[in-house]
Amino acid sequence: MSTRKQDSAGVSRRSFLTGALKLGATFGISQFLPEFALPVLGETIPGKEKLLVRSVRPTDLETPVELLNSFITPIDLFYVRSHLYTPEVELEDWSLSVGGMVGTPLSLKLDDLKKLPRKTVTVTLECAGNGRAFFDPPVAGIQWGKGAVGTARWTGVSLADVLKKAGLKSGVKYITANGADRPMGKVPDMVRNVPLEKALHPDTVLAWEMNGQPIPALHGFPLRLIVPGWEAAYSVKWLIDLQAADAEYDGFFVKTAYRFPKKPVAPGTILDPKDTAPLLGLVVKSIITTPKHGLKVKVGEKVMVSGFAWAGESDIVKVDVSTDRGSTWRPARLGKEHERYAWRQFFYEWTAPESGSHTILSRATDDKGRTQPVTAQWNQSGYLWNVIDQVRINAE
Amino acid sequence: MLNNQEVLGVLGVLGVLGVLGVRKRRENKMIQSFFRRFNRKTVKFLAISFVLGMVFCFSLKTTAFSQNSILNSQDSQDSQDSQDSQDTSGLPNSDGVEVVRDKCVVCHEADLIVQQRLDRAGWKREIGKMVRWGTKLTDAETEKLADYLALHFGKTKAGASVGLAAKGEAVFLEKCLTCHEADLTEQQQLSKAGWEREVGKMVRWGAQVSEEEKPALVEFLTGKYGVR
Repeated sequence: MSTRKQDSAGVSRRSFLTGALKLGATFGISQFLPEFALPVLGETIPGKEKLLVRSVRPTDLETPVELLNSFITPIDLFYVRSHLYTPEVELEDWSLSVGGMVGTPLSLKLDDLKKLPRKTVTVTLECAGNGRAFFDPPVAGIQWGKGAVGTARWTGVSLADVLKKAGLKSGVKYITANGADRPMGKVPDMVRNVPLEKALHPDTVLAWEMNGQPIPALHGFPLRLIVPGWEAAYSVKWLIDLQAADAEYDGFFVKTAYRFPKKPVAPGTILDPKDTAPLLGLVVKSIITTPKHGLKVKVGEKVMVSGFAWAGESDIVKVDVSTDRGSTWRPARLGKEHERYAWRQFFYEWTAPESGSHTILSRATDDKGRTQPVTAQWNQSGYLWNVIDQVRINAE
Repeated sequence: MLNNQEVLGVLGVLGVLGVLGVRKRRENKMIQSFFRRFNRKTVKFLAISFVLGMVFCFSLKTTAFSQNSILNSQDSQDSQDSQDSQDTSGLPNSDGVEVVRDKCVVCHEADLIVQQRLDRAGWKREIGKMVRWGTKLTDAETEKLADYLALHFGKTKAGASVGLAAKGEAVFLEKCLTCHEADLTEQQQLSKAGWEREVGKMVRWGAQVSEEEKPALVEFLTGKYGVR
């Protein structure tokens, strides 16, 4: 009896403290906290110690590209992009609601989803703003270098199977997805929508596993929408709600952000959102991850140049490498692992012919004939940086 | 948004309610039903910890305020040295930093700001977005913030030493622009070593820049016309 009493008191105290913290957040009480109670800058994020911290809160972490050397990116190396604070989701409290223009609105627990046929997709996720730091003139936002990209195996169920259970009414054009992350103040909620055709594609999944384990909190526990081949903001984390709608969702992250100029603009031009269109699939791109930029090698020493190339929904057909600043190009060998929405690894053996500084370039081409450009198309949000990649090596 | 006193007031009322909960537990039906879920000890614990916590936070905050105001008054008296200093957040300590600390580094950290390089118009756009997203700023604060951000996190990287760069700007205006216009300088983007070489060359070519003025001039040039 006394044990039970203590337990209930413990629980009340805990829920009270959580409540007080939430109340505090609502009233901007962090101004009130003493210095030592605030997050320490330069602190690494547990489980992500090797990543570059671009923002502590919300949490935005970039992978140093020289650490990317396997087809599947281990979770501890996988980049993190969050617009809002990471929500603490308890599985017992969690459910996914499916509503809007459906015949049968649903409220599903994870166990309900697990009764549907399993689906695993291997997908390269890349933040639309990967490479933003290279745009000139510089643009606002997290200054991503090259490492907001990674590949994981995502296991769950096809979104189409869930939508079928709910029964879509005629006239549905978009599936709107919302996560458990909640904005502070008047910050817009991170809500995205997927055009119906892509939403119904069998490879678009609701995933609860990342690389064979439950999706970690930073990556969207317990459920994440995975929209293969499209810029990663479509892959909504901490998913709690799907709505079938006949129009685009009227919110910042659909109507203003994640959009690209309809026509190329002069660098520095700020456009009205009406002159922009939503980003969809990723563009063709490659990065050299080994050797690390600035590495010193010996003349005559064999150097294995390797990296990754991807093109969203398209297939990489070749990666060319140049070791003479782009005068001549030779094909790199593509890795054996080859999956529809995942990057291809590439390898190119090179020996420094003489001492001095050498520049190695990589250029990918996809099955649509698209290839990486020499200069980027400047846009005000700094999306889709995909120019020919380069690293410099010093030979002695 | 509520100010500190108002937040304290709200907490005070809650604290009093907690105490009432202890005393009136058996008298008022509504309070009784509310507090029924907790046992007496818990309610007492909540009330006491709430009040103690408030006092604790308030005393710390007051100390912090007074330390800040001491620092600020030192700033104005002894501007050169203290303006050169920078806290670990990467926010240079010059006019406007208090707006960043009070209004921006509440919902996110300084890291989000210091990595960006925008011109004043760009920062104004970002500030406008943040205001739409809930930040409360007066017009004066907005202008101050835009000035501060454009100065330190402008299109070209500002040097860490603001005071030194300001001194360097005076040298630039006085000693460099006697022989050439600013355009010659503005089109270049050089590293610190690069600007040191250029200044050295100019001195060899006759520029009247003293050894003492050189570091300030280089700091200014690197900050304003440095590589990104």
